[in-house]
Amino acid sequence: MPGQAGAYLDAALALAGLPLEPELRPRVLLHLETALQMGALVLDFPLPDEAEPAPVYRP
Amino acid sequence: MSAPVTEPSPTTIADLAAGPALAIAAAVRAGRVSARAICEAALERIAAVDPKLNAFTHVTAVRALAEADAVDAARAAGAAPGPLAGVPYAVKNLFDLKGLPTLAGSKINADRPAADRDATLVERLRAAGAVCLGALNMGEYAYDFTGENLHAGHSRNPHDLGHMSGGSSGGSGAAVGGRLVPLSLGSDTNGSIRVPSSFCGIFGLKPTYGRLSRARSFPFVASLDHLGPFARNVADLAATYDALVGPDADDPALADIEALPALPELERGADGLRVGILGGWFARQGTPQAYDAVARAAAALGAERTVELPEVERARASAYLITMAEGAALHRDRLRDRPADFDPAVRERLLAGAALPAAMVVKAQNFRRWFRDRALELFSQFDVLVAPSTPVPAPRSGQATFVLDGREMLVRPNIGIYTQPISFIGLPVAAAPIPGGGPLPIGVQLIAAPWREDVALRAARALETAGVAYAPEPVV
Repeated sequence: MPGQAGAYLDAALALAGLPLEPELRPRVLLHLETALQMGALVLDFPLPDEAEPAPVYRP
Repeated sequence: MSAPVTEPSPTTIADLAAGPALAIAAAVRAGRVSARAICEAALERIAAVDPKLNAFTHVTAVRALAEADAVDAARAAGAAPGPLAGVPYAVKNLFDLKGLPTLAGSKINADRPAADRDATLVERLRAAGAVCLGALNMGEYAYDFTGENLHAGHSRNPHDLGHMSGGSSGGSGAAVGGRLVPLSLGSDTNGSIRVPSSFCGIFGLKPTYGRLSRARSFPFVASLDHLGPFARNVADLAATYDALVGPDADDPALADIEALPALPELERGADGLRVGILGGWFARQGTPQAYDAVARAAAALGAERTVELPEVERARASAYLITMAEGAALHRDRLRDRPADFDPAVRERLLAGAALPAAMVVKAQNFRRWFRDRALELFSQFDVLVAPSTPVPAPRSGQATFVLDGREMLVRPNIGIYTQPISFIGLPVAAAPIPGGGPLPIGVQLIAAPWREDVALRAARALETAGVAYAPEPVV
């Protein structure tokens, strides 16, 4: 949804304590919007509950 | 005790030093030339030519001469010199080199203390008798496909200095492509060995994920980082890979899987190999030169069938997300404390990564196993799959956009569209240059099943024997 990513970005970076100058913000927002679109594509793919993650931990 | 070396003429030394690594090693082992003479010739060429290429960020002349002298002394004392005796090489500056801070292409890392020990892969090259000439330029923190660097200056394409070398192993590609050294080491997370190999017209190997030790190298994305060699011919590439392989307790991500020595396998060429062409995603968004390179390689390998991997766009998206998230996590404190010292082009992506929702990254890792399983199904029918390395040959330095399939797209993220889905699941890839399609070289990916670097290298050797794959001469 237009506008939501901007508010989300500002809140997320504030929470993380990461500075962002106004001049750079449009570029960061562009990258986040691209990533969110990619994220939607990945989240959209149906996988069963039993699907295992790729990385396997061996203690 | 071995007879002392009577040096050949300076011309012969210079020719040898610029030539195949294995020819240098054979000459040094046979006492026809000293490692020192080779080292001095390489240092001279670097001094003369590197100002044009900007491949090196640090030339370790004192160390190199000491290592060369040690090779000569060992030979004189009757010890067997290693398989890469006297061979000059250099490494991407994310590899620890004792006595230097490990820059990883950044300004910030210059403030780190000097490394107190070489990276494991550097130690192995030294043990093989090779001589380290220095540290090579790279895209900042490896988040780069161009080889451009704000702090150290851009590394240049050895076939046209006005074009990019590719990255992030830009200096590694330019140094070998420009005949400054016959071998180099780089890293590949989403394409950073295969892209400079393509743009600089050289061979590169991205081994299987977990094949080569990453100990004492500066990371980027732990889930996706691979280290690997570059060379101007397949035998050199295979011999270097063979010298790098082996267990290492210092790398928890290293897989304990036996490696077949690749060099002796090369003579088998493509005999008995089932070779397919990757279509679908890999046949879209490219240029005629990229597709033509694949077609010529496929024809020479006897590949007739085109096959597709499913959901490649989602695979690429997953790798993109994992990269952004893990990269951001790695650099979080630096983003907070040293924001002005980053290249803004890197910082702006890392900041976006710091905001990514966790669910996307978790799902991406689950999707990764699904995609891996689909790839392994294909590898039950094929030994090698051929795909382009890059959609285009090297863009001009500083070029921001290009046109792919009639759409104007950003250069930086889209150079890696063909490499990213493959490294996502860690398949071994031999990158082979296929010149002749245009004024600048372009390469193809020869993709094999997990742990079958020997097969990928055999396919590369078959293309080399057929005269289809070779490293064209640089303009410098």
